[in-house]
Amino acid sequence: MTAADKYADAPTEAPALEVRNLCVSASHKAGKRRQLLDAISFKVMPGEALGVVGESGSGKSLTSLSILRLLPLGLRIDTGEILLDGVNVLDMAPRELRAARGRKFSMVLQDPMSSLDPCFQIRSQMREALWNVASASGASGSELDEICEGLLRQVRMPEPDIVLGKYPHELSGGMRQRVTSAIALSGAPDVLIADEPTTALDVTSQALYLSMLKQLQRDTGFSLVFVSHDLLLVKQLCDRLIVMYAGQVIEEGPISEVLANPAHPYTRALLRSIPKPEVDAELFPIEGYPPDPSAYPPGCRFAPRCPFAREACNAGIPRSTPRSPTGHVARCIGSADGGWVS
Amino acid sequence: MNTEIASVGGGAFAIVRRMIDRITELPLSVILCLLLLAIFVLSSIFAPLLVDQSPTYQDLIRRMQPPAWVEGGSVDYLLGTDRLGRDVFSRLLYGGRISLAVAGLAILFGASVGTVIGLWAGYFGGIVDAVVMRAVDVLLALPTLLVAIVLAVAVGPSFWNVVFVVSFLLWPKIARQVRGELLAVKEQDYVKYAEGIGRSSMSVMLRHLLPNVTPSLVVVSTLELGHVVLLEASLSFIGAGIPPPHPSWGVMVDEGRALMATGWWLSLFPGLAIMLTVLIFNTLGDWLRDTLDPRLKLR
Amino acid sequence: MGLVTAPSSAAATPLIELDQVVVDFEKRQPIFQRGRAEILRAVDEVGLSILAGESLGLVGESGSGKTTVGRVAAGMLTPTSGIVRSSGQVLGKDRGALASYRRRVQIVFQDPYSSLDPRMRVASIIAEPLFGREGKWSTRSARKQRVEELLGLVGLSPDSATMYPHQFSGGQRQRIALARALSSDPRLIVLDEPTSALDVSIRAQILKLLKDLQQRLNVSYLVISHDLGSVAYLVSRVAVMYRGRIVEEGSPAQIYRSPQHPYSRLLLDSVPREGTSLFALNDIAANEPEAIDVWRGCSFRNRCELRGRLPEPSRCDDIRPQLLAAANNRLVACHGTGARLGSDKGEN
Repeated sequence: MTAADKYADAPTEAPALEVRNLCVSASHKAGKRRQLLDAISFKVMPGEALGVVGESGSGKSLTSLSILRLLPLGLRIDTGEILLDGVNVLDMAPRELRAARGRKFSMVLQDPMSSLDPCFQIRSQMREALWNVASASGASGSELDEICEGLLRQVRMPEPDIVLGKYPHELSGGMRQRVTSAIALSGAPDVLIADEPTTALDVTSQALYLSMLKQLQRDTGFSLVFVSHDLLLVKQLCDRLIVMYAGQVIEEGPISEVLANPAHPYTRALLRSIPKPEVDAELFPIEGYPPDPSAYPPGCRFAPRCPFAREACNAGIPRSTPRSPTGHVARCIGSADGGWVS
Repeated sequence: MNTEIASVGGGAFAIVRRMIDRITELPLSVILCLLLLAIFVLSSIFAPLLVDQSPTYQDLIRRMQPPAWVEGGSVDYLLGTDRLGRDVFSRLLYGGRISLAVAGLAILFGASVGTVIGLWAGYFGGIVDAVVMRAVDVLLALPTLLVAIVLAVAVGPSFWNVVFVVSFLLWPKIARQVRGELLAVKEQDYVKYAEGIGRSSMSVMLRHLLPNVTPSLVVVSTLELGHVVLLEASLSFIGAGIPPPHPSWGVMVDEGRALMATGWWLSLFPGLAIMLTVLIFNTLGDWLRDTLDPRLKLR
Repeated sequence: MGLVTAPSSAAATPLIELDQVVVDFEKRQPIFQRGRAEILRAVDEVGLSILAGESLGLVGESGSGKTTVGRVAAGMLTPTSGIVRSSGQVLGKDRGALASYRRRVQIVFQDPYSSLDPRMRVASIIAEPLFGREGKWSTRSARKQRVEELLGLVGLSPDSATMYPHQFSGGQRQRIALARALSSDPRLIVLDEPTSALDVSIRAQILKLLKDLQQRLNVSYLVISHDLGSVAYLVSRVAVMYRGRIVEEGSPAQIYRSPQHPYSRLLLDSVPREGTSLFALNDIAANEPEAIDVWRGCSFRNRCELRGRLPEPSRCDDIRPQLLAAANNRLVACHGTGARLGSDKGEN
């Protein structure tokens, strides 16, 4: 039974993470601003794994950075709330935020090479992360080592005692990512945000890492927000899915349902365009390119590339409408009830 | 405007328009610096038009006159006169010619030599690289001013000797910068591609490597301009630089040094000029680095 | 080492042939240990051949040596030992032969951002392989025309010729790189991870373009990739590489539906697709490949789930498995072939 099933009958359960109406913009020439994220809203229930899928320019990484309040200079959160266990992260004072980081929410980022400081051994980097963990305060050196080894064992690292003494460059990409994950989970956070953690890894390392992550999530019960461009990967890992395009959430729902019956033409096209390792597979590319943030079309942002687009699509940004009782929603007037898309 | 003119003029108008757009987008500090620099350079070039007084004409009756706005000064000698009765303002402008010219020429020679050496060492590596870089290390380890003085004294004071000495001290910095940059550029796929299709080394260096190290070269050169101006001033200050009676800002500061109590204007104005010039070049260099660098890693 | 050619054209001379190619890289040693230089063997006795009109896929992960093989095939790297033949002619030091080889074999790199000189206009970039050419493209106008023709072939507008690379997106830059590769009318293009750096929705576009050109111009590809889907779309034969050696070779259907080598199995089980589960992988696969002496025996032995089930596991430690022909024109290098690899689906 997945987390999604568990909570299907209990809609009043409080979400572990809730993003409401998040809008992020960047400064542009001549005083105008570029809208990078437009009214992003989604919920993650406790113990659930949510996949955030999109391509470059979709805003998926910006979303995770916003949640962590790690936006680069020049980008600004205009409106929105990010509720972590009911408390708005955006309103937190610096001290509150520091306490929350690592304990309430934590992250694993894409590039394992730059996530770890090449000057220090793994041991010191892990110890650095333990400042927030109660059981580590006042502990001796060997006790700390034990704690660290325990954390490494949790992420299925072979020979954790040897790894502690190594430097990051002596480890492979997959192992480094396990270390960063161990560090991220050391404070037993409620929510883990993983921003494309396996994109830089080989496909076998990726599979091994993800199976570890999935198992760990089931055992420990943290909520996972997994950002990726790989739809099929997300299918293996997550319970629910949101699809982003050009700074908006255009589809959301339980994963098997969204992938079996995609309601938005972009999701559909994306699924069809993935080259499958099968013989004689036909390829259906999506024509055109994603729009530039400084020149978004007035209506549906996918309309210029959509094979089903009609005049009505340019009238305004489509609202998100439900497609099934299981929380499957999409922003498309064509595929909604009474629309022209089958 | 009829269409023919529009089509021909359109291109030129568009270019001018773009230039104006780019200029107005610049930060205020940069615009100010460029303006000041323009003033300095133009006033140096057109010095004869701006002052009647010759910089070397001595009028002992008028010696040690303060600037015009102080009691005892006169409008004929705007910034006063020195102990030999020479017009400070005129010397400032003519001195600017020398100081700026030395700086410009030194950068030109130093950067050219440094670039060629850096390119060669960086691209071919091996023994040449090792030998050249060790030489660069040695030269960079020597205290600049000391070496400058020794050399200047050895070759004697003259305009071209000063240019030579300063260029000599400059080329190692450029060479090291270019070589370092080259090591990174060399690994880029487009260079490997050019080599792979059989282009000669010279061809690769000229067509691919040089244009791609040029931006950082420009930045470094601009920053070094400040150093060069200071170096020339220092040399002249201790008497190893531009020989009398030609003024340069350093010389003027030196001459005013002993008379600071009674003739504060003698060292102040050339000192200010030096300071402002260095400030201008540093500001421009910083700005250049900030604008050019991210565009180098274009995405 | 078997070199397999498609049965129908057994008599034709291959466009390109690699025979027992070895590529060693010397790791720089500190000055005191100069005598014992550490050698990194990137490519370990690899042989392959591609016929005109045929395309080969080279699949593997980082450290497999596939990129190095690609560079050797493109004439950019001279192997430490072994022979590279082009249309029967051995490539040696002869500059003339090398030059004409480079006209026949071109390469497209993985990273669309570093493969184009940011300071050159697109027209110059595309025309670069035509430098110093007598004959067809020696005049400026001929080159200009050729550039326009190529831009059309890859689906870019003629205005692109005067623009700079930074004005284009990743997918468009790959098109430019492709146009450049096509300019000298090559017979073989080495595609080094052509779509890995691109967005998912753009990948299909580029792959379609590649397929289109393959059919229209009858050009051969050597596709190097870790993305099995892209490879299957473009080639008729696939070779799987692990740590410098080819461990299996066959048609995409054979390899994807019933991989024989344990590494191929691991690779296919790792790719997210219908029917694969994250928990199917054996923990032994998580072992690091680095530690063992790879010149002796099988380089996969410390990650292999099959080894434990073999009657004579020590063979894997001591004897290097040779690439042997199996049924249906496929090759496998494993001491354990013949032993059942769990459930075998379909053809053998």
